[in-house]
Amino acid sequence: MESNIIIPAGEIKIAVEGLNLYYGHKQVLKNINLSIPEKKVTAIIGPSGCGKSSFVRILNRMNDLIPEARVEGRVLIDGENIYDKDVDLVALRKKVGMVFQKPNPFPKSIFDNIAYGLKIGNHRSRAELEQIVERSLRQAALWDEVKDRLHQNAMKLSGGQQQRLCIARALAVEPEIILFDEPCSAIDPIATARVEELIHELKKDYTVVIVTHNMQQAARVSDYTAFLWLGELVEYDRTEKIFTNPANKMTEDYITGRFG
Amino acid sequence: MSERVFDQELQELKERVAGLMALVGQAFDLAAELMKRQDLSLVAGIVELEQKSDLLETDLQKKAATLMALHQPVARDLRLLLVSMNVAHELERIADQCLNISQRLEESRASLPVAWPPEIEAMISRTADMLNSASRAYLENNEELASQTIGQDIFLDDLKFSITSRCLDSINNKTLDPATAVLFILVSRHLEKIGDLAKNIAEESYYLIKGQFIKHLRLTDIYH
Repeated sequence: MESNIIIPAGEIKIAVEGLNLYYGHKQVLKNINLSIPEKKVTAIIGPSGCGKSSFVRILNRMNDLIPEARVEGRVLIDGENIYDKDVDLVALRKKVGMVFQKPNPFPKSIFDNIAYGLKIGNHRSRAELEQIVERSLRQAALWDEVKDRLHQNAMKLSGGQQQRLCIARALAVEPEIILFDEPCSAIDPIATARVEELIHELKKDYTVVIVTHNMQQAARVSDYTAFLWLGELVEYDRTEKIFTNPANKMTEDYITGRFG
Repeated sequence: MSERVFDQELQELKERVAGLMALVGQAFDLAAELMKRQDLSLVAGIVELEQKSDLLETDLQKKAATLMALHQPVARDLRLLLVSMNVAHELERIADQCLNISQRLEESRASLPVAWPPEIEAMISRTADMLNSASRAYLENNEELASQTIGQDIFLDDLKFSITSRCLDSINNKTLDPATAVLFILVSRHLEKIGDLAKNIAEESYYLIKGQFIKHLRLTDIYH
């Protein structure tokens, strides 16, 4: 692995140490060591099947849902290993929110989509819920478009609006980290631009990790970029370095479209 | 993997730069020949080459801008496009300097023929070398040639300083016709400028090859 960056200890939000992931006998991630800085956007790039999505799913233990998945190594968030036995998964997934490739709103109203996660295990007043729903929709740059139809079914929103609704839903539970797994692959260029603007805004308050197939998107939105290939971390550096003068030839060949 | 269409486009762009280099090289050779023979009939050829270099540079800039817009290149592809645009611009400016030399000789037709001082002879030779090595550094991705070219610039500066001092002394001592002295000073400036532009091409080539900006750095800063 080639990297010229050393992120100061005080700025590290997520530290991945000696991480291996197996699905049954197949090793999907191989000895990944990576420090993700706080309140920055880190992009994970690489060809299909390189382990990008598996990697981000490690960060909130979504892979636990796959019966044959086995993880070795440590993933420290704020210094605590999320793979320790006594970790509260609900608290972890509240702290580490996720937005998926395809918008997946619940078949409920816009309001209930946001309020749903808040209602689980919490007793909040209607006024509190309304306040959080509005704040989340504003953060997701969707409020002005839906404020007059909060009780309309979310499935009637456009694809781009649905994706921002999913972002608002993730923000409502006040996470510290947001994982985006190819968030724009199913939406049009205008909606993509809005989501990218939103990601720029979000990094003021959140640590963002984004998986993307779109090189230009990684270049536009991220501060740091990690290139994975066949489950290995090939290069990790500042995005401007990766996209102007990568250290590794394989990275260069991939980002310039010469393989993958 | 088979060669990408974009690779072919980049290769074509590089060939256009090579064409512009050849044309500007001809303009320089003609300017050197003009100085040697002091045959003003050669000026027309320099004017024609300078005009062609303007057109080639414009075409090249348009082509590079189109490739950037359509392919959104990164890394070495991006560097090749940026550097090719800058190199084309520097080449066009070298052609301008060749034209300037020819104009200086035309303006001094009453003083011709002149016996060029050794500094000017040395500057012509050094400048030709720098132009050649800078062009090869770009075309062959040759870091060593780029560094060599950059290192030569100081000699041209020294030669220009020397000829300027000597000419000013000669004017004061009345040992040289002032018009001739001014011609020597101006021609040395044009040659020194061509050397600067060749150095810029070498610096651009260094960026193309290594991905490091070295403009305004000393060679010792780069290697230590």
